[in-house]
Amino acid sequence: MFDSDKARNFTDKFGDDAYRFAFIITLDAEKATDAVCDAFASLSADPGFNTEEPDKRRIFHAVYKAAKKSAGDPEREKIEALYGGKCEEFYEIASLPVKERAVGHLTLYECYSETDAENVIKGDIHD
Amino acid sequence: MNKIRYLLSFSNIKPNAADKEKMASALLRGAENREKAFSRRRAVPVLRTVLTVVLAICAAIAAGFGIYKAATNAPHAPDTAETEPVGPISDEGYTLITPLYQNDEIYGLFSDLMRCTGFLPPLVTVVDDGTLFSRFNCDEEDKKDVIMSLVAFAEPNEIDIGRRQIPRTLGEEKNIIIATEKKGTFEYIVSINVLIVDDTVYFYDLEAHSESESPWEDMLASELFGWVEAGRVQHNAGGTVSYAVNTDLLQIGFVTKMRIENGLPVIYDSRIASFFTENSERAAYYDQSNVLTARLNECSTGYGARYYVVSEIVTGDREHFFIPGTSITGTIGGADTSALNVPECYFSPPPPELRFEICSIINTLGCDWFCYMYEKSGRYIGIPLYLSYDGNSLLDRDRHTVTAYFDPYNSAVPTLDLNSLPYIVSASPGQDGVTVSPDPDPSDPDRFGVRDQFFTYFKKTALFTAYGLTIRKTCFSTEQFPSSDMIPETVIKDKMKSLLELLSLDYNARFESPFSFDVFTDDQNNSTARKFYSGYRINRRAEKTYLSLAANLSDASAERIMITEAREQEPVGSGYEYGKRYRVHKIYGYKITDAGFVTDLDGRVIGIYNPAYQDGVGLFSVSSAPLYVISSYDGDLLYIGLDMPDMSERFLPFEYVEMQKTGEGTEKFCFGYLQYFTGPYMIPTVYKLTRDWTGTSIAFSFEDPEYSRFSFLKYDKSANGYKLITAGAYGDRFVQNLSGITYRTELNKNAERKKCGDIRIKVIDGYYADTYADGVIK
Repeated sequence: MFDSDKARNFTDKFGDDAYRFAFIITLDAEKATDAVCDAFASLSADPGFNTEEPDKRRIFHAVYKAAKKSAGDPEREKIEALYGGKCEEFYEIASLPVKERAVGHLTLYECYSETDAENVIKGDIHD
Repeated sequence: MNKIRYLLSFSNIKPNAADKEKMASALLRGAENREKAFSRRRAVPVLRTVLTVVLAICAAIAAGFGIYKAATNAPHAPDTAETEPVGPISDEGYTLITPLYQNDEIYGLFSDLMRCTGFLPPLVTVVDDGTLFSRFNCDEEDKKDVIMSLVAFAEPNEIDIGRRQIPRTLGEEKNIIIATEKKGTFEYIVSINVLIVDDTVYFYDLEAHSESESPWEDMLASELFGWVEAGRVQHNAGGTVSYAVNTDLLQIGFVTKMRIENGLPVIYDSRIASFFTENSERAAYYDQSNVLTARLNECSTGYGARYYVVSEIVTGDREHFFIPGTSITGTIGGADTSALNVPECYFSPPPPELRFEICSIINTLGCDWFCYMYEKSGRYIGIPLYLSYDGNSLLDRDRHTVTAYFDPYNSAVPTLDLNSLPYIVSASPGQDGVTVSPDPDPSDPDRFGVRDQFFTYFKKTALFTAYGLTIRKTCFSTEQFPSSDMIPETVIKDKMKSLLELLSLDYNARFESPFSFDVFTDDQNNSTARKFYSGYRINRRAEKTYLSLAANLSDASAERIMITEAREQEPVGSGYEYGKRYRVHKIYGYKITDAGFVTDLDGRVIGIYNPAYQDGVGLFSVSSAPLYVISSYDGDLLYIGLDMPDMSERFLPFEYVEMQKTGEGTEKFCFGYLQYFTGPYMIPTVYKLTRDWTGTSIAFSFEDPEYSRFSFLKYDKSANGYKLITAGAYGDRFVQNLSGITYRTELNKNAERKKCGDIRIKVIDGYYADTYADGVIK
């Protein structure tokens, strides 16, 4: 049974990274939260998803699916006003098309290989 | 591409607590859907079998019906039978609420205390000829016939009220805990109050009462007035009870801040909260004065029970506590700050004719004393009372009914003056606390013995007891406004104490509670020659001198120590005799935890136990080096050591709040509670950790009680390239990075010219650094 403690643990463990991944796609805090919530709900509703020892790649895939629907454009002034100064690398990634943006984040932030990152985006996830 | 810079860009991009709660809820929602889907799939074979049988029967019926139709040639209506199964949480439209901790002893005590001690809707007790009748919500105007009280119902029977016989059919009130949230050492409990009559559940209906203009007699004649039938009791297997209720009728609940101390629940704050449902999945309790808010997520299990998860606790005192730049006087000592949210404190004695009845009621509860405070029109009205156990008549007890006043030096609880009658004081909040003074226009100065005293409230603690338990700890205690014979240092020291005042006579002090430590600074020489350490302290007030004692907890014999208080006499030496029975007035002390920490009355860590100091004096390791103890606002120990923790760590164990600064993004201030030990003194203060936009700690400040201003603590270069420089003489503050560039965090023109010299200066507003010409701040 997936209880509230487990849910919190899960969120504590994966929430930040999932949120950041969603953020680079949506470029909006609220939308990022919504995307992660949608992703989490879909994951935990999936009988095939192991909530005890989750595969982080599946989380990213679910987040990507949820976030790409509300992908945002990088508006530097708005981002800096709301979220503080960001480096050029951030804007470089954020200005890519959504898929490349996701791959870029996973390679830079999560240290995935480009192939692995692309597979995550495609949902081609195998052990 | 620079990976590090990219990573740093996300330092302040992360979900806040509310976001995380949403995520957790989403997870639960998904998991619940999975459970339901699983249940449905599991039900399919059974359903299929049933359907097969049903279809076969239907076919047979249809065949017959077809024969009949053919015979009658009647038109055939389509079958529209409802096939959707009833949802698991739906039970006659009710929601099943299962109380939390219903079999837990402590929470049973809590529930009883809530029920018996007035943390309920402002119900009143109606009395006639001294007989407790019943409780109803009423207006203050009806005081002639109705007194405010905290008592539970009397024995259920028929009670006379005048010539009328009114059946007492009001049933049992229950306080149902539906959600809890632990924050630090405190637990926030959300509960609802129900009335049970013959397994029928009633909620209190605020609207019904507010719309009523019935005279009292009619109200009394109307059983269950103000209560609305809301559901029924469901007795579960195993003896537990659930309540199937219509939550739409639920209007009020309670948010209670409490924690377990010495194995007993101590209620720090409890407020009536309105209840509303924002949507089908979310409900919220909130206090009408917006002081204590608990937001709830409503959840349901696959088995039909519904429960709530506290997603957010917002306390007004926290907001007050953490407003930078405002007075934090009320937080010294780490006690509850809610006093600062009390606009005025007003103690009012009950009318004499009612005092008689109050005494009677309280006596039935066996309280030592109690102080009920209720709010009216933004004022808090309290009736502090003390009853003796001498078996005298109520009238005699009335003479012993005293008001609380406050030991100006040490008392953490109101002191009971047996020579005074209740008197009136009024209070007004100020930057340095709450000033309390005699009411300028008392109704009867002679009778109530208005005292010519002038108090300033600081945050301390009052204990309220009933049934021999501490039922509430609140923050009404004072220190007298400094008088000529009171040195300022003493004032500062006294602010830090947490004390326990023992009110009963001939109390055998067992030192079961932790106390503050500073009494051990006295009488050190004598202590070394004694089997146990005892000290004394002379506490001067205007008319009395107190003597206080303490014993070393590390000595097992301390449990047998009888200690005393010598009133109105000057103590001589350490003249206390072992084993002699004294009257205890105050005890100071401490408690050593299993983990080797020394805690005060409130359980806050105040030192490290050092067995090398057997006399108790050196327990706090303060003689040679400062000791830093950092705890969260709620009292959780975060750090203890002889040095400050490395503040360069990006992720410190402090809780933090985020403050939005328009146009400048988010600046994170981390707050907590710092106890800074040096020499014999403990200096509690508030620390503030400031991070820049990358999440790097750039400043750590605390109020310096010595200089009454904020200072920075110095620490070495951090991994992120900053070090702090101690505040300058003008209160200016600097941060320097590894490149030697100094940033000022506060603009001070006077200091600028004298202190900055030709240092290249950047001015930090929030966390944006604007570069200016070398050495010149424009």
